[in-house]
Amino acid sequence: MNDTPHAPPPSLPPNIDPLAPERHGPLSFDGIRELDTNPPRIWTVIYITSALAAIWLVVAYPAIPMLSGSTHGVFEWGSRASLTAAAQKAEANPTDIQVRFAQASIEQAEADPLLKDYALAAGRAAFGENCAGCHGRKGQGVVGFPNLTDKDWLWGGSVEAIQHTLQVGVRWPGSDDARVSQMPAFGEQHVLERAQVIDLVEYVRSLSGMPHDAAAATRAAGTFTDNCAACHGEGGGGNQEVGAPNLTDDIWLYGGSREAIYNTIWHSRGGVMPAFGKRLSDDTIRKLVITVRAFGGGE
Amino acid sequence: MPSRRFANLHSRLERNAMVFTLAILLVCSVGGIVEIAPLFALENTIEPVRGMRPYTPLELAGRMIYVREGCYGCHSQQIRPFRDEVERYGAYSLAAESAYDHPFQWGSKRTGPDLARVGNKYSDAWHTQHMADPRSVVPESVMPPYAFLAATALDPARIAAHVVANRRVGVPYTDEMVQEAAADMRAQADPEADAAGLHRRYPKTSVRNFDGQPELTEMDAMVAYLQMLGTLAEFDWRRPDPAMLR
Repeated sequence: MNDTPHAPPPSLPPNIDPLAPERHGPLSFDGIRELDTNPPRIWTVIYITSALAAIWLVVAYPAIPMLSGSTHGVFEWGSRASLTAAAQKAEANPTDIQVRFAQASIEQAEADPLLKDYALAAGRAAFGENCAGCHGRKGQGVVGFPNLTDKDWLWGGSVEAIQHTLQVGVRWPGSDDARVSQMPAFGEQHVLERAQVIDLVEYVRSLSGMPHDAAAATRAAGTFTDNCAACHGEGGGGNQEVGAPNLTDDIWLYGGSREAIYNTIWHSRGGVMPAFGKRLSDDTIRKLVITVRAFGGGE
Repeated sequence: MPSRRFANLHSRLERNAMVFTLAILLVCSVGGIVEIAPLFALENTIEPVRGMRPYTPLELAGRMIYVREGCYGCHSQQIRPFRDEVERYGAYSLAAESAYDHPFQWGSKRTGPDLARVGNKYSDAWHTQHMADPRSVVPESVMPPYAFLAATALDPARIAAHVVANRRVGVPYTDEMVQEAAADMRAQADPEADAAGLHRRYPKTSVRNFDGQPELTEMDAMVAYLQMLGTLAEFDWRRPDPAMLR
């Protein structure tokens, strides 16, 4: 027993803890003694301070759930109210560049290097969040979702046209003034016979100089004039007023293979783009216009 | 010395089993009361906001697929009232917006983006293609493909039972809504159908062929659900009603 490290020195009675002699520890039981040493003072201080801080938080902030809402705290703080205040403060105190951008036209902002940098920095973030899902992170597009980096625009690539498309959307059911046009499903709706559609595919391919069956294309010339030229133009050059694509270039939103063109004529196509006019602020849309044009395809 | 008095109090407590048991119960009950008592007044925590309605049967079916596939594992439906979140996703989520959710889809785990306001953000065609093959439209995505949804028929026969189940836990579906559940479900995905009753029972309902196929599939339900998420509540977080800020 004597070589136990916690054995009391002989000067203290056996029931006194040598490390906290002011406290009466428990008596030994079957020769086993439980010591009851005080923790370091700093722990006690931290413990009591934390308890006081907790009480302060309860008093200062919303804390105790009651039957109708919680206590409000002396600061009357709320996460929503503080967000509202921060947003309203930011609105009331715009930065110089925000003011300059708001006053400039899109063309002026594009011409001013500082404003353009500002618009691109903000526009890229907004593009990534709102547009990249369909048009790709760099505006490259994917089958069915237009490429924004080329010069081929369905509804126009001018500043005004892009801005308007962003605001109202394309064939968007949630927007009353969306850009709307509907290509007929020539096969599905029994406008054309299957053989006529097959010939028409060759004619459409001939417009852009792709390999085609010249005899079939010749047979379909009249069909094209009667059914397609109203929107796509006599020469197949397209019409941005109705979002009719140019058929004479090598850009194919839904593919230029015989099968893809056949499916397009038979079932028709019509991409949908949501309207962002109510979702994004006017300035954000202006920044997006500049971002999209900076991809290189703006007219 | 206070620390000594405190220690002595504790040592007295420790040696009296009954008193110590009561003290433990007292401390535990504080936690219980704080967590449980407010649940009896849950209605008070739901803000008064215009525009909310129960899910249409098709949306409800989509929601059940969403839960079945574990979408909540990667997507939260809870936009918090922070500026970075409202700038990115839109207005913060209200309690009223998940009042009819059983179970709710809140969370903070976002492997994918928050979906609380994904409604009306993309086209139906995008959703259908993205669900079938996420990387065909978002190359950097890590989302698994759910192409089978477009190939799995949706059976309207069972939806009425699900509507009843939701009514039992407090969603205000009427008898008429239960009766018409299967018909409403078909009507919402069929632009040719007579949807007057559906629109009357569920305002602000989009009637479209959501997946572009003639058959009623799970993809229709999924896209219908995603397209309505966050579109019902009418409020402006920049200029909120004071009742919203309690």
